[in-house]
Amino acid sequence: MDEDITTYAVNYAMEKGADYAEARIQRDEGFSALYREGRLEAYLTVVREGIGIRVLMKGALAFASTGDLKKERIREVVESAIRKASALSERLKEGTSLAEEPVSKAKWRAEFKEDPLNIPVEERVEVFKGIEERLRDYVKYLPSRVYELSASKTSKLIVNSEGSVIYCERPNVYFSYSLLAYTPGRGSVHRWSELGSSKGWEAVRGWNLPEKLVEEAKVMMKILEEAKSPPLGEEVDVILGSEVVGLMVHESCGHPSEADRILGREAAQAGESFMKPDMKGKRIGSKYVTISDDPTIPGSSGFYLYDDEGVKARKRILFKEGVINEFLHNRETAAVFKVRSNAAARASSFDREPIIRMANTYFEPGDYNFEELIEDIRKGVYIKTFMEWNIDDKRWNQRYVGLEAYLIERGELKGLVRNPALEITTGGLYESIDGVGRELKFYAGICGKGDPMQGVPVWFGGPEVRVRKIRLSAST
Amino acid sequence: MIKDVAKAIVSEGLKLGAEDVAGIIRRSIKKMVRFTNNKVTVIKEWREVRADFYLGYKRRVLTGSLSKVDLDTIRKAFSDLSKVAKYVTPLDEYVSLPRGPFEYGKIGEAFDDRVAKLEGLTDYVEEAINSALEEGARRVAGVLNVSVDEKFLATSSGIEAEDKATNISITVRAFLDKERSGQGVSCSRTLDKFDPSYAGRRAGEVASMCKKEVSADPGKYTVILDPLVVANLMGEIAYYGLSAYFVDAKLSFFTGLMGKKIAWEGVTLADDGRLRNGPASTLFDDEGIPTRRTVLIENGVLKSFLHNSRTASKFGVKTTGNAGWLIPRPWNIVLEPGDYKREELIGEVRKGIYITNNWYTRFQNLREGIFSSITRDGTFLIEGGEVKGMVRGFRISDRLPNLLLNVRGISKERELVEWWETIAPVLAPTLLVEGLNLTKATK
Repeated sequence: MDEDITTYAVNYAMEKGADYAEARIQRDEGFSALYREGRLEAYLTVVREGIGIRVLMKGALAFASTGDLKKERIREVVESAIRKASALSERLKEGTSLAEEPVSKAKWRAEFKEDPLNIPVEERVEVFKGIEERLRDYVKYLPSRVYELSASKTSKLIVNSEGSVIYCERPNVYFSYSLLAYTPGRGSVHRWSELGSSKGWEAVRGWNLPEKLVEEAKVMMKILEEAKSPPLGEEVDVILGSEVVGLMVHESCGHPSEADRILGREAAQAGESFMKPDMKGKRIGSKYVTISDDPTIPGSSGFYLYDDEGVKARKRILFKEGVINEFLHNRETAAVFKVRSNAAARASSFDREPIIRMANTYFEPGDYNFEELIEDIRKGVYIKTFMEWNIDDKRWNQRYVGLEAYLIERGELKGLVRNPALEITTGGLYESIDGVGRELKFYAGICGKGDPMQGVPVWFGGPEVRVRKIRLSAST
Repeated sequence: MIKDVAKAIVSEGLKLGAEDVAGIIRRSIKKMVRFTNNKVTVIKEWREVRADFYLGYKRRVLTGSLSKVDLDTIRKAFSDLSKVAKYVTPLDEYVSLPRGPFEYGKIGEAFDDRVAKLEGLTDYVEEAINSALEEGARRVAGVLNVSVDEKFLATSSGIEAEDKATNISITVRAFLDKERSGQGVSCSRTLDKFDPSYAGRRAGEVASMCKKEVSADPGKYTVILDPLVVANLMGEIAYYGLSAYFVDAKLSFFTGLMGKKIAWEGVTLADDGRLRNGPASTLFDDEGIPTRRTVLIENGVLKSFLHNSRTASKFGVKTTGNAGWLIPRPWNIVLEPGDYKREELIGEVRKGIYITNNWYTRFQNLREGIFSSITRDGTFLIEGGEVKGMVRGFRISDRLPNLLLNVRGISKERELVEWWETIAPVLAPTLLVEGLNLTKATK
């Protein structure tokens, strides 16, 4: 990548009167393959490369980008950003500033063994064939099977006017599957899920997709054949499986901890937060609730070592023993809160502004094994996986509808129950947790935020957790 | 220049041995002003050229998207794809790209030079903010978007077509406090029909309606759904329910229901690629087929899915001009108006809930249309035909097919809605729906 061009963009912006300038060349290259019911239906190749430039001028922030890396075009883009910032600065009573951060000069890369873009095409296709072969006995009950496999490599060069220069490279591998099981007279069950990693092709091998999907198929068949109505209208104890816990902490701890939401900057799109700036130190849940976000987990989908503002990444503890401990910051929100950035700024591509994002958010594990978690439950439900979910735009009122879920009676797992819906407030949920499993598992997703939309790869996870005295509702 | 690149894609694709080649070059300048707490937080501008291409190679489908549009990058992408081709499955339903040329005519109010040359975007933002404040809002957030787009399509089947578009839109969200808010939007292809004051006023008006709070239990209610809600849900219906791709994948909740009654008889839903002033209106689809108006649901009866040439061939019908090379998609969704004013619809409700906005629509089972979507901004209890006060925490938890069947009233006024949470632009009325299931948190 051309450091000269990036430096040129920054220097030119400063010459033109910027107080701060930052330029990021980003290249994303990859493929995506769509496979449906025995056929590789379509194959997509993608290359996106360009430069994004951010300038701050008398408190006014402007962002501009172009896919054309010629100097004359970059000059035009810089001049346009400067013009906009300059015009805006005259109207601003209170402008934007950036928290001071050390100058960073670093190169980092996500370690991988097998470059996913150098894997022979035949081997990429074998992933799908292996799944279909293993699912052969179930295909007649699975009328709809859609899989997507994609892999990409991202390289970025970030230069700012304070002297920071960061270069990074990382791969991203991703697989999603949609399975629809149908039995006459019993209706249908739909499962959609994702896997992801910043490792190379070895991650795809490690997922053991044929076995994973055959297990999914078996469970779906059992749900259709056996699942009964969950206990409704009474308080029961609920064990949330790692997959549900992961989503829950992403939605109701990670998102509301984003300081740009707290300040209202996402108000008209992804929404705000139930948290206010002065709520750090306030209790939000029981002492069992500790939730972290850590970009530095090797192989994770949310992996990075420096963020897109050049700040060194570190683990953030968002809720600590039930108390709000730390918000997610970029340099802009850190300046407002008079703290240091904790390196949460990420941009999904060259033409997107870096904004505050989660990386890998998880519920910290506790001491219990699964048997200990359920042993004193008189009546309850274990929600192992989910399908439908949503949460309000303040991240307070959420719903998770279980897919694979079991009745618990007198400390033992019983039969499957169908579509138990947990609809609960964030406060009600976290204050009702009184037991946390010891086995931490991660799941992958693409988190959407920003305008224009930025989808970034994340992990979320946790152990199983016990939630006391919950009234479940039935899904439609 | 963009014409040359599109033609180069076709000639390079043919050299590779592909029998069908299409290249679309899109060049755009997009500008955005975001505002929060009554002030602008950031201004953005993008200049983008993108090349999308389609190769039909021995009945196989290969596609690509490049942000670098020089010949070397295109050749490398084609060379990579040529190695992939033999592993892609030949499709029984494969059809060649449609043979052109076609006559495309014109679309009214598609391009406005004043929008293309617009400066002083923050003036419109201030106009919207002030309108919301005048209605009683205390703080206002939102986004203003302006775009100028050109596209040129060349295919190996004799099509060379070009189109250009301007769009200007604003989303305004007005707050009394964290819990009490309203939203308004305005979107247009031309400056004359762009109304930032309306967007601000509507947002402020809904927020101000939230001053009094009342309580209501979850359950089945007669609901009034404002155009913002209708736009969100009709987008889901048009894409996941009516795109032939999802029908073919057996994931649509309308699979097997062609010609059947799937909605109340007052419901007529169309896709219109040529809607005057429609944000997504365009002369041609990605295969070069002239866009058109397609009635999807007529008086409650399912009449058509959205097709490209391949899905049309598989379904034994003609394409509707909605390609997507892989997935047919809606352009502008149009729900035909009814006879009522919104106030009259509210006046019909003995006890019900009035929902002005929603977001986060997700499916438990796409095939059966089982979904939930959470209310956002002002949601109100109606008793005796009057709005009694704001209620909190409601979620629509039902089946989309139920919702369509239980519509009982449609307003005559409609709003053109496109914002962050819509799949496609929708010309949306207000709806009265009976017996919609609403749930709330239990703890």
